[in-house]
Amino acid sequence: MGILDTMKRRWLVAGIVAIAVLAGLYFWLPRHRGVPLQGESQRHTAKSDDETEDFEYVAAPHISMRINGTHEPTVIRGTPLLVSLRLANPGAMNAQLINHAHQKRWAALQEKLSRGQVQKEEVDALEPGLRHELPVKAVQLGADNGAWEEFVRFVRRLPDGKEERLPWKLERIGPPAEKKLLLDAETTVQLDFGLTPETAAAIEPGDYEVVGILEIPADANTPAEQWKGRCETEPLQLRILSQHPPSSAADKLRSELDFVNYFLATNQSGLAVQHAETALASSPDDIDAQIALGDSRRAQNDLKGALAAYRTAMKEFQGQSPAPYEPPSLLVEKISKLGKELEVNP
Amino acid sequence: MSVAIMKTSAGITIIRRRQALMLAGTMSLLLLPAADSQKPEELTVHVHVTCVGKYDLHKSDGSNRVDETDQITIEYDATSHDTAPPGTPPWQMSTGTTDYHFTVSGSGTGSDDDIRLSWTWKLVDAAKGSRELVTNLGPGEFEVALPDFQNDAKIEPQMQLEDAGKSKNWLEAEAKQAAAGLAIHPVANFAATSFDTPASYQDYDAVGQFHDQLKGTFDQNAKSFTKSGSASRSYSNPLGMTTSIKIAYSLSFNQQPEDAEAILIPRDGYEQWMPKAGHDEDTPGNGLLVNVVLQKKDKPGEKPRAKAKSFKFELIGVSKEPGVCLNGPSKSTTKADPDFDLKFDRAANPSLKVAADGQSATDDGGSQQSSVIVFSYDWGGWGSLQVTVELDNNQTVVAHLQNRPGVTELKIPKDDNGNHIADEWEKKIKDKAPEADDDKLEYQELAQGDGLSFYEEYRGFMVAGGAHIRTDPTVPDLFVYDQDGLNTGLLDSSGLAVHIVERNQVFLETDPDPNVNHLVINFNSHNQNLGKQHALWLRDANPGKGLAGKDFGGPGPPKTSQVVMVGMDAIKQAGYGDLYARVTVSHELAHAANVWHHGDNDYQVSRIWKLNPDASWASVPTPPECAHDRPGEGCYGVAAQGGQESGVQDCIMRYEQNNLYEWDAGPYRWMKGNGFQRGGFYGDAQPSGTVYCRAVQGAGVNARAHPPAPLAGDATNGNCEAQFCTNDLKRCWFKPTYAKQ
Repeated sequence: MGILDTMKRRWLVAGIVAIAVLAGLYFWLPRHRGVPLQGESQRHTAKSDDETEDFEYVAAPHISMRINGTHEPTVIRGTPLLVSLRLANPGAMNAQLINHAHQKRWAALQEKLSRGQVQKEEVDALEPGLRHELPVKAVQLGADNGAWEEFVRFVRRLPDGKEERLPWKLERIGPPAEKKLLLDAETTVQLDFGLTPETAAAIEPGDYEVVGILEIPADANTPAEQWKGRCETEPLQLRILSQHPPSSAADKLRSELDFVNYFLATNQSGLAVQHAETALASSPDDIDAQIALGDSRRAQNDLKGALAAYRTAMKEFQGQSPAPYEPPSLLVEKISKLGKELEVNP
Repeated sequence: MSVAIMKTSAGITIIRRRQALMLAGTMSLLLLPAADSQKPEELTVHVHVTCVGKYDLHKSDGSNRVDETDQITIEYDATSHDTAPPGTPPWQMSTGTTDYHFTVSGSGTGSDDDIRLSWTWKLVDAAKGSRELVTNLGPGEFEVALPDFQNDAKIEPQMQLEDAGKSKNWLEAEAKQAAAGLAIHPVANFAATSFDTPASYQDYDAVGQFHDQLKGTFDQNAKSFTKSGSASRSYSNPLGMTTSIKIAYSLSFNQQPEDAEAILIPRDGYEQWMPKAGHDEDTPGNGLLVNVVLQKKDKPGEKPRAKAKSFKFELIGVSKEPGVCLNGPSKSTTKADPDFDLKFDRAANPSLKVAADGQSATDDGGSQQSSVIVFSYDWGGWGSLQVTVELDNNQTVVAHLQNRPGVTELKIPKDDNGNHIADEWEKKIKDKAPEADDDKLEYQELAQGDGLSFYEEYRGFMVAGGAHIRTDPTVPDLFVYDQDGLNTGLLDSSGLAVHIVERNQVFLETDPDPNVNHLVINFNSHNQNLGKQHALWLRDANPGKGLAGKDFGGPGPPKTSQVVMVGMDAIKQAGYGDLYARVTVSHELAHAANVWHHGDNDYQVSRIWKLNPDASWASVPTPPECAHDRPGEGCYGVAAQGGQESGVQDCIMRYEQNNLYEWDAGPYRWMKGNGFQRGGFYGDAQPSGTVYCRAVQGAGVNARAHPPAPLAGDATNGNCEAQFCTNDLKRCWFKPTYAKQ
C-alpha cells in the first residue's frame, strides 16, 4: 500500500468519524436546547408562572432643568441664560418616605397598645409590614478617577424627534462638583451653566426645545459601583424673542432681572447693580426689582444701600399686599440680618 | 383484593393476586387499585384452529413399489377470559388461558413390498399451563398468536400391521419404525410447522400475508369493541405433501361506563397570589398556574378510565380596567378601549390553542390532566377560570374545585367575598367595603378619607423610581409631582403616606379653569372610582416678592392647589440653610393639604413709642424707608395674639418674623385700631419649626407661663396635624374662622 493510499484511508476514516459526530450532534443538540425533535411530543409542563418581581424602587438619578429660574423660559435676544440642572434620587426618596410612614405608624400603634386602645393581635398582624424597611438605594455618580460632570450635555430636540447639539455652548458656573457623588434620599445637587450676553445675542430668535442629558456609558473604564445609563430632563421650550419690535414692559423687566441674576451668579455685581437700576427705572414699584437691587448692592458690600433697597421692597410689599396670606419671609430675613450686621459694623 | 398484572416484552403474562411486584428492564408495571363496586372490564378472546396435513404417495421403482396415504387433522379451540378493574385498557389484560382443547384425527395406510400398515392418529398428551392467544396486544393493535403444535400437543399414531410377510415378529417392530418415519415426520411435522415456514422466496409473501390476516386494529379509546377474523394458508411441497391451516378468532372488550370528574387545582400559593402587571397593557405581569386533573368521581387520586378529548379553558367575568393601575401607564399610552386584565398568554401556554382575545384556550387532550397559566395584565385585575372537559366516552364535565363540587369557577385572585380585591391583601383589614374610604391620621378624630376607595388603594399606583405600590387604606395618601427633585421635606412627619410621582404618572387635564389643580393622579380609575384625586405640583421656582414659597390656590385639599413653588435659589441667597428649605417645602405642601396658618391677624405699624421711666412715652425714630402715607403700613410687624406666630413654637406652620408682640405691660406702644396697644420687641428669631403641631395651646415662647408674657399665645387654628385633608371629594371638616385672602 502506497503512501497516497494510506492518506486517502485516513481522510476516509476522518470523514466517517466527522459524519458520525455531526449526526450525533443533530440528534443530541435539539434535546439539549429544549427543541423537540420531530415526532417528539410538543407538550411540556408549564414552567414557573410567577416569575415577575415586585416593582421595587429603582436606584436611578432624576434630572430636572430650569432656565433663568423658570420652566417656561421666554427671553429677549441677548439676555444671558442661567441654566440650572438638579439631580436627585426620587426612588430613594420614596423608599424613605414609606419607611418613615411605617415607623410613625408603628410608634403610634405602640403608644395605643400601651394605653390599651388597640389589641395586641392587631398590632402583631401589622408588625411584619410596618417593621419591614425598604432598601433606600443610593446612586453613585462618578468615581475618584473620573468626574461625572463631564457626562452632562445639552441638546436641542427637533420637531422630528431627532437631537442635535445646542448651537451655542453653555459654560459651567461655580466650583466643579465633587468627582464622586452619592445621591441618596437626602442628597441633591445643582449644577449651573451660563450663556454670556454676547453669545446670547448671536442666537437666532425662535423656539428651542432644550433637553439636559446625563449619560454615563457602561464601558470598561466605568467602575462597577457607578451608575451607568442615561437620564434626561423634561424638555424645556426656550423662546428667544426678537429685539424688534420692542418687547413689552413686562418682558423688558424680566430680561433685566435675568441679567441681574446672571451677573450675581458670575460674581459681576457692578453689572448686576446697573441692570437692577435699569429695571427699577422702568418699573419703580416692582418688589422683585427692589430686592434684586438690594441683592446686587449687598454683593458689592454696600450694606446700607442694600438695606434701603430691601426696606423699600418691604414697603412696596405691604402697600401692594396689605393682608398677605404668606409673609415675605425671605425679605424679612434679609432685613433682619443686614440690620444686625450694621449694628455690629455700622 | 389487589391484583398485579405484569407483562413482559416477550408477551408472557403472569398474574399474581394479593401481590404487587416490582419489575425492571423492559417490563412495565401497572398497579391497579382495589376492585370497587363498578363492574370490571372484560376481555374475551376465542381462537379456533384447524390444520390438515395430507400425503398421497404411489411410487414404483421397478422391483419395489410403495403406496402410502396419510391425513391428519389437528384442531384446537381456546377461549381466554379476563376481567380487570374499571379503567384498565385491554392491552393491560391477560389473553393467556389454560382453557384450550385439542382434537386430533386422521388415518393412513402404507405398503412397501410385502409390508402393509394402517394407522390412526391420536392425541397422547396436551400441554398444560398458560398460553397466550394474542401477542403484541398494545394500544390499538393486536395479533393472534400462531399455534405451537409441536410443543403443545403430543401426537402419535396407533399402528396396525396388516401383513408383515416372512418375518412377522421382526418386521412388526421395524414396521412401526418405518411408519413413524413415513407418516409422523413427513405429515404430522409438516402440518405442525409448515404454515409459518417459507420454503422459497416466493413463499415469503404468502407467509407475510398469512401473518397480516392474523393482525387487527381497534380504537384504543373505545369503551368496547368486538373484532373477529380468520386467516388461512395452504402449502404443498415437492414430495406431494400438502397442508392447510385455518384460524378463526374473535376478541371482545367491554368497558363499563363510569363517572369521572375534573378537579381544578391552582398551584401552591394561590391563596397569596395577587395580580401584577407589566409596564404597559400589553406586557404580562405575573402568572398563575392552574392544573386540571381527571379523577374518579368522589375518588380523589384515583385515575378514571376515561381520557380527555379536550380541555377547554375559559376566563369568565374578567375585568377591563383602564391601564395597568390607577396612574400607569401614562394617559397618552393607555388604551382607549381597555383590554382584558387576565389572559391566557400564548408564549406561556405553547401546548394550547389560545384564542385571539386570550380568554379561552383549548388543549386537544389525550391525557387525563392539563394545565394553563393565567397571566395578569393589571394590578387590580380579577376574573374566574372555568374548565370544561370533553371525555373520550362522550361525557362532558365541568371542572370544580377540590372538595367543593358545586364550585366550578376558580376566582383569580382568590376572592371569597367577591369584592374584586385579593383576599390576601385584605386579610389584615377585614370587613371593608370596596368603595370604603375612611383613611384617618392617628390623631384625627374624624376620618377624612383620601378620595381613594378601598379597591383603588389595592390596585395601586406607579411612583417615582419605577415602583408600584398598593397604598395603605388606613392612612391618607398624598401624591406629589416633584418636578425638580426637591423632595417633600418633613411632610411625612404628618403621618400622611406621601408619594413622589413623575410627570408621566399624572395626567395634566386641559381644564379651562386656571384656578384649580389639573394634575389628576387616578386617571386610570374605573371600578369603585369615587372621583378625581389630584397630585400636588411642586416646583423649584421663585414665587417672588420676597416669599420663600407659596401654594398657589391653597390652603385647601389638593384640588385647590395649582402649583406649589419654593424658591431654592432665593432661599440660598438669603443665607438660609437646607433645614429652612425643607421646612418651607413642608409648610407649603401642607397648605396644599388643607393646613392653615396658626392665625392670620398679624399687622404692621410704622410708628412706635417707648415708655420712659417717668411714665411718659417717647417716639422711637422711624427709618426713612418706613415713612408711609397709608395707615397700617410700616416697618414693624406685630405678632398678634392668636396670629401667625401663636401656638406651638416648633410647628412647621408657624411663622416667626415679626418685630413686636402684644403685652399689656410692655415697654412700647403703638396704634391699634382707635387706641394704643402695648407690647415689646420680640427678640431673636427662633429656629424653624420641624413638626406639625397637635394642639392649639401655645407652647415654648407662646406658653402661658413664658416670661414675661406669652408672645403670641394660643393659636386661633393650631392642631395642624388634625387639619390635613387630602380628600378632593369631601368638604374637609376643618375650616378656619377667617377668610383666606
